[in-house]
Amino acid sequence: MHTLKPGTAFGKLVFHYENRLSEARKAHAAGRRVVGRIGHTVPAELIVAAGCTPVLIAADLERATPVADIYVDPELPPETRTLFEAGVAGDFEFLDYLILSRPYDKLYYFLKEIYRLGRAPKMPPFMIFDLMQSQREAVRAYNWGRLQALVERLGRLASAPLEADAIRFAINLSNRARAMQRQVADLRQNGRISGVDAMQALGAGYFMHPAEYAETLGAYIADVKASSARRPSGPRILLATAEPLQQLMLHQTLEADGATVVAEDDNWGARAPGEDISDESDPLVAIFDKYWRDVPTSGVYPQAAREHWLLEQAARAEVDVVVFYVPPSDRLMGWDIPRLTETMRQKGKPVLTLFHDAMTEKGRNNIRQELAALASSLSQNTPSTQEARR
Amino acid sequence: MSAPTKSSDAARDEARRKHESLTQLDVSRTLRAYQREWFAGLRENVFEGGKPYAVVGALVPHEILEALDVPFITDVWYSGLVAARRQSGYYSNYLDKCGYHRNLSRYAALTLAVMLDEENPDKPWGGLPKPSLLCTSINERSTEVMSAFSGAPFIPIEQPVLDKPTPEWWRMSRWQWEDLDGDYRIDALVAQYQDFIAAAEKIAGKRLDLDRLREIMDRVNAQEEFFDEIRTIIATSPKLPARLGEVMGQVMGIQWHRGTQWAYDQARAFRDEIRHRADNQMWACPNEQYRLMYVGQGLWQNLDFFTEFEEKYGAVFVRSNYLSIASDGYIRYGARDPIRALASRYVTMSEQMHIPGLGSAWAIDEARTHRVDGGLSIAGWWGVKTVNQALEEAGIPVLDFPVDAVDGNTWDDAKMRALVSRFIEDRVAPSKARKAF
Repeated sequence: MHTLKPGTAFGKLVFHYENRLSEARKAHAAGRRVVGRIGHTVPAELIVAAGCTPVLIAADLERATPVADIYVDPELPPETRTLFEAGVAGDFEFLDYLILSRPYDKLYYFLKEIYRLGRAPKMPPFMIFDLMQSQREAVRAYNWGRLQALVERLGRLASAPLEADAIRFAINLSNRARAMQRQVADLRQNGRISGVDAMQALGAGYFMHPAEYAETLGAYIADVKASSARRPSGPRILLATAEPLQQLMLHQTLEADGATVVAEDDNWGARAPGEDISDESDPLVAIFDKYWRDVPTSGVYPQAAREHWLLEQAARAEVDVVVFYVPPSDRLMGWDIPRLTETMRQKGKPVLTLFHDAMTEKGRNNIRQELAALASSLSQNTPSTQEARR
Repeated sequence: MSAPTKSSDAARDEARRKHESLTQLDVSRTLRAYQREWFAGLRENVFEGGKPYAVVGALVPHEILEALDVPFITDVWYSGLVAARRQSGYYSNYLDKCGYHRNLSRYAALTLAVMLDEENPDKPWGGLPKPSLLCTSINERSTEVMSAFSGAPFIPIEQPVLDKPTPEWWRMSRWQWEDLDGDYRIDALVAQYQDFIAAAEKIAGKRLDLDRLREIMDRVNAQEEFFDEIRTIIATSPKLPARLGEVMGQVMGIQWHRGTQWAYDQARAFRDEIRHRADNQMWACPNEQYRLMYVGQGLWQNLDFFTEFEEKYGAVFVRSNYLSIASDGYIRYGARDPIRALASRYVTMSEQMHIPGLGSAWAIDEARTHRVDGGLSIAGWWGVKTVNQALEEAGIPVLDFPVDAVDGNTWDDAKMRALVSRFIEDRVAPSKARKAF
């Protein structure tokens, strides 16, 4: 499939995927205001409309966490520990403001306390944007109120209230990027882009200016279309995950022996674009609807809304196997696994549930072994070990 | 996966005998008698009579169900019963067998396991029939499994994030709750409670009477005031007048029925007995040397463990979250709008014991008022590290106690005794000696 060539559009996307704070630091050095967002439910469009540069703050899961290990409980996701460590170490100092989203409420509490104790003096001012993810009318008023509070705060940062036209402009920019990202999804389904490449092409968007990103992604798509590369002959995987896929380890492991991840139920991958933000209604209402209704977080309720996309994708002929990634840090998705497995089985889709941690070598070896066993059973049309166990 | 194991009847009888021999309070016996009576009524009305009932979380407004006369079971407390019956290992393994991996919390889910395990008749209260309504935190994903299994509608509750944490929250919670909790956060729960009320009214077949709810709220406040008095007596008496296991059992037994006349009367009797014991110097351990606090979820699988160190070390456990949160977390005065006051009661309920800063400030205040020499902190709940760290920094040694509150598979009696013994010898005793010097 696609290969990285320095100086190409893909090279640029990979650079930003790997050097995640590069663009934001450049903007900061140039005197522009930079706003970090932790989690995908903080609307980047509002930050752009406030005249600031948005940047997603992602965890480096390979980072050592000596301070976090003192304060943060092992039950909490590894992301919480590494982001806490980064905050205490001063990694966010260059940000003018930091906005955390609801799934990171525990991180918010830990950072609030460590700052209160005077042990993280380099933390920038920060807030939480508490958008509840259940799609019930009962939470609409609260969510709307929280959005208004966010708009007000960003207005103070911009020294002027956010203008509807500025929001519309930002929406158009991000919709352009979304349209390109959807083309990437199509190319993946057609076997033209590997999962590893797609993750980098999609993920780079969280660290680049939306206009530059859309242009670069467009050039990359043109390159892919012009190339004759095709996917290997291994199984095509639809991936559902209990942990955000902010690093490539899992994809690299799954694709190491010829399989291809064609889509993943995660913001870092195929769910990155979602639907466009409507440009026909009040722009704030449109953003509200997008971030409330069209997000793939684990907090989405009811179950039908949470799983709609996954089930739709699983039904596609381009998907050979559904992989559930449920590492030891999972505290939630495991409750859905037996039911989802049964649903897939009834639909005739083989399932592989991985309980290993892709961040460890042992975990990666186990994942490769279990995938190989499944691929072998698929090619011989016999039940896999997991299927047989059931 | 290990093979399912069941606690034998003989082992359970032995545990019961031991428990009875350790019982010091009359109210422990009256509580057990009431629980039997209450359960007989539940069996008659719900299990046999088919009256609809609800399974709910500990952090949802039970008072509404009380006001509507809807019987209910609290999932974590039923899980506690499973654990107290020494069956948590078996039901935890049963969840494994159903495909629910080991890292998923068992704290509330043992109730689900009992329901799913339709073939095993050996269950607390003979098991649970399918409920008609479910309401828990939205994070309790096992409730969705229960909903699918039982067909009962599930009303999830989403607690809004506490965006402006106040470390010494308990100084504001009784009267200044609107300021403490934030009106927009209270509004968020009020809106969700409307869904809960509508669903509960449907199975109750009647409308919620706000005056009745207000009376229940007043009774809950009065009941928690008795608990507050008990806490003060325990904290300020020269020695401990009642064992922690009994106090915890009593508090939770009463809290389960909070708002009822029985709960009010029982709380008053409990207060009277504790006062009587303190006035007459009837100490749990006359040779009291060390006062320990217990932090975190109740050790429901072995409450008698708290008495194990009295004889050898004169070590007593004087404090748990359960009695203290009853007075600091539940009381809401000035409740003109009872739904709003209820929302305030639950909007940060339990979280205030976990949230860094809040949990630690409270634990330190409790440690000081109870004159504790050390703490035992159970593992497995978020926020425990900051609480332990803060206690240590305040000069109070803490033992990280590596067991699950309800999962009997994590219990190793000899190991746990050795851990606590070593902790008393190596940390508590020297720390107390240093302070005395």
